[in-house]
Amino acid sequence: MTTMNKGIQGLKGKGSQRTMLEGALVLIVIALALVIRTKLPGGELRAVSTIFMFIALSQAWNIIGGFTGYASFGQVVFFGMGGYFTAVVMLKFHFSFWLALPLAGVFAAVFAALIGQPLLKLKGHYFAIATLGVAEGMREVVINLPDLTGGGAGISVPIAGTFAKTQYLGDAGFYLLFLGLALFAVGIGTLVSRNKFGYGLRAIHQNEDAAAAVGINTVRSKVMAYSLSAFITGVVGASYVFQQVTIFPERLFDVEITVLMIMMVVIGGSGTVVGPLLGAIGLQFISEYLREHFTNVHTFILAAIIILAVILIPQGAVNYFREGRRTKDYSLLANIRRYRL
Amino acid sequence: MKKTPRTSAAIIAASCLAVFGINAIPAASAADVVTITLGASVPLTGSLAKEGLLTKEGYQFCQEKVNALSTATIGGKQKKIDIVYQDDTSKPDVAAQNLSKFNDKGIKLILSSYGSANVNAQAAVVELNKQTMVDSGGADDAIFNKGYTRTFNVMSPASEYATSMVKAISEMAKPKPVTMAFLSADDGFSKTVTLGGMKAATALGFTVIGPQYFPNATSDVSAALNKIKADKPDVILGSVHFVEGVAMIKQAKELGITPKSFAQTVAPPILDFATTLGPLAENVLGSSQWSSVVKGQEKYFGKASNYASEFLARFGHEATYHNAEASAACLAMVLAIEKTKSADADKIKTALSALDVQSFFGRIKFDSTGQNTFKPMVVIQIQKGKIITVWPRAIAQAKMIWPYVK
Repeated sequence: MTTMNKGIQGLKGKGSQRTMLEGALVLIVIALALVIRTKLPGGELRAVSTIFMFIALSQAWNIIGGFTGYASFGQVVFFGMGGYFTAVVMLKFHFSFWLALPLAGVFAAVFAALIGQPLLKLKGHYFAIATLGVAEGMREVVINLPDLTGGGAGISVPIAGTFAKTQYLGDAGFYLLFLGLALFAVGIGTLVSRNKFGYGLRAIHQNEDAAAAVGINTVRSKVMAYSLSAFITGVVGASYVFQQVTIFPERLFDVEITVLMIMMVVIGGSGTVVGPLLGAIGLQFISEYLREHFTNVHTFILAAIIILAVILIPQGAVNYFREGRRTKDYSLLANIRRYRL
Repeated sequence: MKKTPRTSAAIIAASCLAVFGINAIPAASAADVVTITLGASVPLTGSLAKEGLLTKEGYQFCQEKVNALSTATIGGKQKKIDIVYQDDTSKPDVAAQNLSKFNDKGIKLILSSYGSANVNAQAAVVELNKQTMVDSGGADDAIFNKGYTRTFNVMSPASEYATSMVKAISEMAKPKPVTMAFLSADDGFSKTVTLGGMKAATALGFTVIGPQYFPNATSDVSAALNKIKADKPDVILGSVHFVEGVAMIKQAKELGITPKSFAQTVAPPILDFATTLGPLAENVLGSSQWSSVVKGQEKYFGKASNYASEFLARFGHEATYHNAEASAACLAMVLAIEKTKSADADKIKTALSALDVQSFFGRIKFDSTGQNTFKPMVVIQIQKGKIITVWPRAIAQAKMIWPYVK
């Protein structure tokens, strides 16, 4: 008994030590990000803001796609809806951006809860295609409501003058906004990863019938995960719209944004918190570097890197290193054999 | 050879120089030359890659001509221009971000991207960064009604695209048609074109039908065609891009819709239009920013016909209006640099505001919003597979064939 108590106390000690370490790490990252903000010029700040944006988006996708195992190929619908909600309420109803921001998240989350009821009954490819259809459909809805959304001609949010309740934030301001969203999304991802709700999602991912058999309300859990994921994606879409000022449905509902989220999660490590974080930073940084330095062949090189990454480490970078640490074997050949052969 | 740490360091340093292209040794003639760098973010990949490449060719051609022929000096040194390119992947956010990165590097003079959405995003950033941009790829009037003062568009405004064809039909079509139906893609540029055309048509006494909108870049415009079929319009005027333009001609034939004339923006002047549609393309009217018979000349490109022949020799294909408008934008920037003998963005902006030149591209002069409202567009017609300028009369290569649909 005494030994067991000591063991539990030891685990608790290790847990609190880990929490303290993580807290310190977060503070260091924030301090570093704030220092970088003062050192970088405007164009670089904009580029780093995009990295923060994709950190938040990949974390959001990871909740439904990584933890729960429901690959949402139409995730961009929440990005677009959050964005258009913000543009419409700021332009037509003169909302401040700071009020529109959380409401955009709620709007996207409620929409996710509504469509989630029927969609989340589908599995695998069927779910993926259905979500893709929803995103494409919503883009058409936005295009066909020109009086409200500007349709194909686009819509501009007021950033100056009497109708602008919130002044434009500038490159430094948006850097802080997207940094905040990235931290928020990583925080949510960490919470989900470590609490009962998150364990339930993982159980659903492993075997949904077994999860239901042990008492997990799978429908409620899936809808909650989908809504939470949509909330984060919606607020990111809202921020993106304010940054861009003029928006068009083709970009706000661009399937490429979903594809990027998925690639970042898969390459970084699906179902982990660190994986999407590293995937977003790595992929966006490489993409940006290649575009700037290899103007004519950047997409070719990026595609080759992604193909190689998926072939060599299909389980994602984080899971690869975890397995390597456990087995003391980091051989890529062995990894290919393990996952491909 | 035994490698010492110093040797290894030298090898590493040399490798870094080779890999990252760091040029530590100035060119021998650098003392006699001042190079002014222009930034150009163009779509080299993505949905606008084709037009982006044509735009880049236009800029390249301008750089080569100017550097070969220019005798202008700045501070006693020979002036050269260097254009730095970035791919904006056909996305407005990347197009805007690229300009901010140019600004970080001190590049204040910008040649625009292609596409109204891209240029719209760029114009806002140009204003924030106090850069100066000459636009060759975004004609939507919406870009210029926001009070921006640092973006100048060498092209005729979007509202002129359909208006020019309405005027041409009104002047030259005998017997004069009565009804004119407007079909349009739903993007901002196309809508502006349509509204401008409808206004002109009403003013010139036509009975206007529509507008009927369809999604941008769609290959199915049959729903819009069906809605106007019962009205039996004399003219169907489409504010379209290439894909919708081709679809409109094909599907009208399939649906048995036979107006006296089809007129379309943007699509017919593209070389592929006639080759894709074959006989169906015959006699379709189109509006174009430029043709090789446009009047005007200047010292770098000479006349429009010179531009066309030299461009063909350089790039191996006929110059399109995309090429020409890009070269014209670059030309406007170069002339402003020569006028001010500086690369200062504010001075260039002032010089551009006062610029007035008759070039191979027609007149380049900007109104208070930055638009070139002084240059008329030309109307072309596909005749025996060739793009023939039919309006304005003064530069027409042949008479407009009318009516043509039997």
